[in-house]
Amino acid sequence: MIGKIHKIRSAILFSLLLVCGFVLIGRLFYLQCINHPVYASQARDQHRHAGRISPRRGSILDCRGNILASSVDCLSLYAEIPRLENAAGAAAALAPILQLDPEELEKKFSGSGWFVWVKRHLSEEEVAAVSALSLPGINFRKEMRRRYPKENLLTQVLGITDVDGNGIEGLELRFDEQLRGRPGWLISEKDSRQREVRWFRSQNVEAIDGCNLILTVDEVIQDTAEEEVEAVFQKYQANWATVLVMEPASGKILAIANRPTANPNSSSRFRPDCRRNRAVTDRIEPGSTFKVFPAAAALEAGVVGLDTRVYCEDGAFVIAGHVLHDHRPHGSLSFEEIIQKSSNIGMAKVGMLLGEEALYRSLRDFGIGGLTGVDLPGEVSGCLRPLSRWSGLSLRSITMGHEVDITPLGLLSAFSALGNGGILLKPRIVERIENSSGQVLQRFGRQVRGRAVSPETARRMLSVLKKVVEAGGTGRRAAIPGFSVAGKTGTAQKLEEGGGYSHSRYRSLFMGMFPFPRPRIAILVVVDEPSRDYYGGTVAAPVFRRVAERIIPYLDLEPPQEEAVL
Amino acid sequence: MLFKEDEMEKTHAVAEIEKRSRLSFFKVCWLLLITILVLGMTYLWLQSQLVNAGWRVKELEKALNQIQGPLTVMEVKLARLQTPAVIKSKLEEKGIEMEAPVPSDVIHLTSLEKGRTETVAHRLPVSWGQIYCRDPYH
Repeated sequence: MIGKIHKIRSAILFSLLLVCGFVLIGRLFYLQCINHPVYASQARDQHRHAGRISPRRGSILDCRGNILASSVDCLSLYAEIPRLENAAGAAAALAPILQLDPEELEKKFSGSGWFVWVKRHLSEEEVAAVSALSLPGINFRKEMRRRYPKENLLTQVLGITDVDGNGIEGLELRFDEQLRGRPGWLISEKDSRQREVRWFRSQNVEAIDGCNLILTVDEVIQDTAEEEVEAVFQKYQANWATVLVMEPASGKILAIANRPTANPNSSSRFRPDCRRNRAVTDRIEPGSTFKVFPAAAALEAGVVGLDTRVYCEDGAFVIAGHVLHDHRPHGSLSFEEIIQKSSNIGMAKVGMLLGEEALYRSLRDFGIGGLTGVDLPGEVSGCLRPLSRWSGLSLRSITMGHEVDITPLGLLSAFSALGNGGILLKPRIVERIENSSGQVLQRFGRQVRGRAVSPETARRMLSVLKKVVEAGGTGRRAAIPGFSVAGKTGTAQKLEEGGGYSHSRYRSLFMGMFPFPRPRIAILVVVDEPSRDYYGGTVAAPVFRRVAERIIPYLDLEPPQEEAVL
Repeated sequence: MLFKEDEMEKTHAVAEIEKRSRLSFFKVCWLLLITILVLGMTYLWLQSQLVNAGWRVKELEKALNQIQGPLTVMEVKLARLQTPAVIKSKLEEKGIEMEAPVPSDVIHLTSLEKGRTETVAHRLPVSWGQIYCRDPYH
């Protein structure tokens, strides 16, 4: 009887254990087999670590490898809103360090969402001060910041990037794709302390750093141009000023200096007028500097010779019902003297001898009215009206450098053709593009746009322009002791808003090249609305001389005939 | 009688063989178990070494990043120091004025043939300025 009871109890117990066993096995089967994908994916999400590897943005260097723009590591501050213990307290602590408004900061911390930027690109002092606070929910993220170590040098040409490192102006914009690089990524696993377990990295694609731009600009020549343009800008309290330096034989731009300017490291405080690269974005009426081109055209066409004499009407010439004046009355002048003394009447008569059609064609050959094609964003084309829209006064106006617009770079580029045997080149500012290993990916060579005049005409024109810088010429203040300079002054009246030309607002210009007869350097100086003096020969020509005098020893230029022979 | 003895011997021998075989089977099982254990531990040890190596690689990557970052910053700082305007202002702080020679102060010498140009140049009565000696044969 007792044995039977024991047997029954044993059987019941055994059955219970069996049922429990089956329940456990069933549950295990459910978890491991049926629900396996769910839990496997949850585990994967917890352990998986997918990271983006940011590329380093390429640097911009001058022709000698000096760094003009580069990206450096920096830390940016962000807040994980759910982990903030005291939003108001954190805002109050951070605001004075980061120079932010505490109320706005508190509003950010009180928002919905998980992540909010507090401040991007902190300085070292700010990082140290914030780290010392040890606020929960406030963390740093490593980013890259664009730095311009030369500060005001070549500001408008280099341009700037936005806070995310994308180019938005200048060369940073124009070559953004090459500079940006390609991001990489990695897929790995992390442990319970959220550290990556390197061994389990399953995908690892390296980032490709951005390419480096090597410019044709020379830092030392650029610095010289910047100093001199700043000096003339301050001295004459001008509206703006530009100095350009080019190599006529190759089309390389050695310097572009603009004023006003700003420090690109503080781009948030830029005034709009400081960002303009006026060498390519501003059209100007070039005034008497433009006489070079109709004069060259007349020589090329053979309608005048160097000793052709023209009567300059003693300073007043009626043409198409309007009176044309010279700034000083002249009688009979040779062709050379017309250029040397910058006679408007003489030039108008030369233009009349040449004819409208020949003049128009020649000006187009010099690239007037078109784009130079330089690799800088924002370039505007010059303005030369089609022949069909010329009035009776157009010929005389255009020969004087009015009724025609051109950018400073377009003007110097056309002028440089005379120093290059009459061949018009495309100006270039980028020499080559290299990858981060120094391998050249793309080279920008000398590009011919066309032939403006014959080599003989170019040589003769240069000999005429040499006289401008000699005694009796309007550009004698541009003379460099020991060197022959070929140049032309310009004093252009500016257009009034209501029409007509101003008698109080002028633009001073001088363009020249040296050493004669084989020019290595061409320089253009433009000063807009100088106060007190306004003649090109007084304001711009001395700037040319000072820039040239500093470039000569730097480039070790020798005067052709001045050598002491041992 | 003989057959019965033989049968008994045979049975005895078979039993002996079976007994020995049973023992070998157990031995094999033990050996297998021990081998599996040893291989398993070896695998775990290798795994831990690899994970360790992975940590070390990660630390080295971190160290490289920590060097590269400041290196770039130093490059940019050096670039700033090498700016002509900065060099000029630093020299001015020490009372040194940096001026480029004007072209008229530069004397260019050219030798007609290979010779002791340096010695000849020293004899020239030049009191101030830069002397550029250019050997036409180089």
